[in-house]
Amino acid sequence: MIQFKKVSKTYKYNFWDKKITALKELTLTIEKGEVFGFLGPNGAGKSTAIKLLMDFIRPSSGMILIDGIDSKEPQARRLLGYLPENPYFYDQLTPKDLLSFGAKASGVKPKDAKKRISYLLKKLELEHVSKRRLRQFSKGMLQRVGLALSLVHDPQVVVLDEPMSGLDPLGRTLVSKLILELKERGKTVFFSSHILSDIERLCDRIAIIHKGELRFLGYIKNVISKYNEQEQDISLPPKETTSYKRILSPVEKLFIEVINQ
Amino acid sequence: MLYRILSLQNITFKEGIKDKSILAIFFIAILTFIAIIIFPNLFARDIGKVCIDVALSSITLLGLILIFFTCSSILSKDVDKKTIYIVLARPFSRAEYIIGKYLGFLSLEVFVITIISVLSTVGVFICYHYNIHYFPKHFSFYEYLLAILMIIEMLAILIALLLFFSSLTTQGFTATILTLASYIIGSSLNDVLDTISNSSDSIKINKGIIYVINLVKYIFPNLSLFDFKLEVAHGVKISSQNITTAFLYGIIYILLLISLSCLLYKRKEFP
Ligand SMILES: Nc1ncnc2c1ncn2[C@@H]1O[C@H](COP(=O)(O)OP(=O)(O)OP(=O)(O)O)[C@@H](O)[C@H]1O
Ligand SMILES: [Mg+2]
Repeated sequence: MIQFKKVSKTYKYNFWDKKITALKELTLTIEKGEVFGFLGPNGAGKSTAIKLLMDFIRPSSGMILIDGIDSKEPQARRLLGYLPENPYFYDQLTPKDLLSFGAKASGVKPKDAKKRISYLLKKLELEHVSKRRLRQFSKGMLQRVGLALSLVHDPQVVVLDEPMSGLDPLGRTLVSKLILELKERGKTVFFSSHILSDIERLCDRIAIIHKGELRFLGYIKNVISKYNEQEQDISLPPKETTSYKRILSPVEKLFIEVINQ
Repeated sequence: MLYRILSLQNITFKEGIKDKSILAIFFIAILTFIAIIIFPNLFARDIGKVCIDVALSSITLLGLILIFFTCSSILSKDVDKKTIYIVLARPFSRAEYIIGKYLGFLSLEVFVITIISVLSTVGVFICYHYNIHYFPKHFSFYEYLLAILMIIEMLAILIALLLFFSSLTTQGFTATILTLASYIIGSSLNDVLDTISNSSDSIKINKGIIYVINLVKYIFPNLSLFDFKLEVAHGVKISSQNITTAFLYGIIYILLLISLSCLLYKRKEFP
């Protein structure tokens, strides 16, 4: 469904700044209907990869296909629903205004749009604020609006950049449920997250990137069985091991191992 | 394609019209309405002139406030705070984004100016009614409205300039400053050029410079072309040639700017 083909990206803010290589020849295929988790430490290049996929920025080399269509074509985004890392919207609008824009711009029929919007507002517990201006919203509320916006046209592929960030525990459970529902309905979900327990619960497959390079790619069930068997003691990196010790989950063990390589 | 552009136009308009600065604009508009009725009476003989001049100047000023506060803050947010993502995540091409945004700002501008114009025209009308002898002999409301239309076209150029500069810069603020600079240059251009070419009798200016001056005249937006305040206020008939020239010049200028912006946005990145 989504194919990254040797995608590299170097940022250059000003011509006197040093180049930053945010992504190095990322090759990755996300299959139709799978829930794919995208992991990596801060600054690893996750958001960069997602922005490339959305065509907000352009690869320095390589290409990205979405259902066989080059990501540079506006057509490709017909299939996509996207949640930005830090959702920030036009703040004079209400969630309703915003969602109906999303639906209209994606070519949803007005009648369907109305139903879909009230369904999503209910689902994300935004009904009581659906007519308030977005500037009065808290971070978590904005995150919920962003999620609703990404789903308003019932897209085939949902791309979420840290969907859990800023949400309360109930909100996180809600999002988990939402993702599982999407999976049941055969949608493809591609999301980045730092919350490994959610990743473990939701994903079919994960990729870990570090410093712009793909370091691990595999099925979550293999990871779990592998790390549950071997009782080897992978501890946190030396400088962080103080007296703080706890039992690590399989994905956490993998994460630390991969990053320390 | 069209429904996408219109949906963007629609939310841009909505975002603009609910902005606080609109309230301020309408507040000032009401103040000027009152001023138009009361203020000119202090000028006895020149009542007509002052009244028309105040009305047209205030329309221009409020239009400028709308562009430099409301429109430019919306555009800055798009670039700086990445509100543009919600648009670009949909199947918009970059050209559709530019056109939708332009139409959104333009409709906002036309809407606000229309309301203000109705207010100020009523003001002028009242003033005219009571002081008919102090108005220029050949004053006509038709020409007064024509002058307002030209103000709207001048503002339409500024909006196009704002979008154009935003395609060149990475910060919204820079685009605003550049637009402001072009406005200042553009509206004083004719005066400066006139001074130079008039002085060419006494001081010999070489042909090259005059050529450059003429070039500059067309490259920079020559906004003084759209200013018919003086004519209307003095009841001088506006030459239809001047109107046509300004009108066509404006349209061509806007189309060029929008096409250029579309091209530049195509390559622009929003990291
Ligand atoms: N606009 C930008 N200009 C220059 N460099 C950038 C820009 N955005 C990101 N980078 C660099 O690219 C690299 C990857 O950043 P990216 O935002 O993709 O990380 P991330 O994996 O999403 O991290 P996080 O978990 O913190 O969200 C970082 O080294 C960052 O400094
Ligand atoms: Mg990120």
